Amino acid sequence: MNPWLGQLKKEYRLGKGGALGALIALFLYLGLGVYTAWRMGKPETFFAFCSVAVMIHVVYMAGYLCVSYFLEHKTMHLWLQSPLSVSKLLLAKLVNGFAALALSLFITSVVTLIAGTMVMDVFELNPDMTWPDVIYIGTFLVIHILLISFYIGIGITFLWAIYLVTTKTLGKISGWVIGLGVFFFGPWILAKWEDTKLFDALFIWGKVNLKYNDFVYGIFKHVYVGYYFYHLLLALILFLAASWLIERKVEV
Amino acid sequence: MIEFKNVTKKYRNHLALDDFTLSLPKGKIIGVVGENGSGKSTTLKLISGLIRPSKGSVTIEGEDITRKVSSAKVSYLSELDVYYSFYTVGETIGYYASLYRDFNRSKAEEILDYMKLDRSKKVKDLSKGNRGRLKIAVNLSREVPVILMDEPFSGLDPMVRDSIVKGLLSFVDFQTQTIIITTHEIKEIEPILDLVILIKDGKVLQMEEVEEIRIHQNLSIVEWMKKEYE
Repeated sequence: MNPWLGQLKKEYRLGKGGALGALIALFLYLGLGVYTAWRMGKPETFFAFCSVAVMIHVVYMAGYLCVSYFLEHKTMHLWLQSPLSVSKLLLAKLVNGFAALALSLFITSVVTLIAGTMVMDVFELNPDMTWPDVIYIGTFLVIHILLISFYIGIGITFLWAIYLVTTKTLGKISGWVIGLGVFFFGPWILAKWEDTKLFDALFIWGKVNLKYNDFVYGIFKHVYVGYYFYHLLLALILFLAASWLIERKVEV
Repeated sequence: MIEFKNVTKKYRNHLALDDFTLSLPKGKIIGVVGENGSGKSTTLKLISGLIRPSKGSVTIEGEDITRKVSSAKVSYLSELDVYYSFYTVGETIGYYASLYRDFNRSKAEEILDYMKLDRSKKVKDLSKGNRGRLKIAVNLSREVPVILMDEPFSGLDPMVRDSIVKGLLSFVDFQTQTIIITTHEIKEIEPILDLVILIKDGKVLQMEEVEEIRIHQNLSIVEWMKKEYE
């Protein structure tokens, strides 16, 4: 068997418990939504529960990877003894997390679709809305939740690498302080950078107008291909930096 | 075969190895002995590529040791009593067989039979002794030039220790493989050692052929160790 496939299977086994736990929590939450909607006599309450469940998937990868990295910590010497490069080892975790995310999001999206079109009847609330609109908006949202969640997952991977390096070289407290510093100040610095004219010149290009119904997406009428390219580049840099740090600087 | 050249290893404020120079020959069973904290585990971890020297160099067959070089040439048994607990014994073997191209699956099966390990049993349900046996099975099934064993007898009963020693003799190819063992249970492995290295405070205090200690000095390794430490 290909060594990476073997690693992928191992990561599946490591993450299975957490992913199942998250799925059970999702069903319990949706059950609570059904109960609340029934008690209040307002079917739209269930749709609100479903919408929150869909949006919460943005942090799914972060949660999945935090559990996976926490569990891996105990067997770090086994993980680092692998003949695979650290980038391949990390990729095995990311692929498994992404598959779990996709499954959970698919289930939630289907329930949300049923809640929106059958329980609440969105077409009655908004006569301009059509089935193609629903499919279009749904697909747009799902793709972006998948991308953002994966992106945050890479950010968490980078933070883990920083934590591993700093705790070994500077101590546990310093590791946490630096990790939290990067967690809070990193996005702030990036936000400042994204406000500059240079950023606009480099990455705000390739305008694509969205065909959405203005009722739903009045404030989000277009996207920039360049902006997606920027985040892809940033994700790649963070992933490679995390791989390099663990490969070259982490000791167990 | 394995060379330590003026190696210093520091963990934050603690000096684990201090200007450590050592040359280890091929095809021997080498015991690394010394008191707690003397630098035995650090020596093995440097060979395994899990840590890097702060100063100096460690090479294997002329190549600087990195994680990649080590994973191709070294099989390392950690002193830590942890494995992937969600796997069964058979799945653990399957996982390592998929990971390492040098993993000899039939040898692993043979060792499992020899160690009387139940393939269907979950690792988390194994006794400490059987986890120790499983570690040995994984460790010895790789056909690599260097086999490292860090405290393989730690916390194990005499029967398990005996099966490990016999396993070493049965499943290691002494023509092509070198074994380096750190242990406090010196008496257990004394009969099979070729060479012994005594470490104190991160430095090599003495390196001697076991035959020389036994025949010419008429001492056991423990007696020799005590003499050298004084």
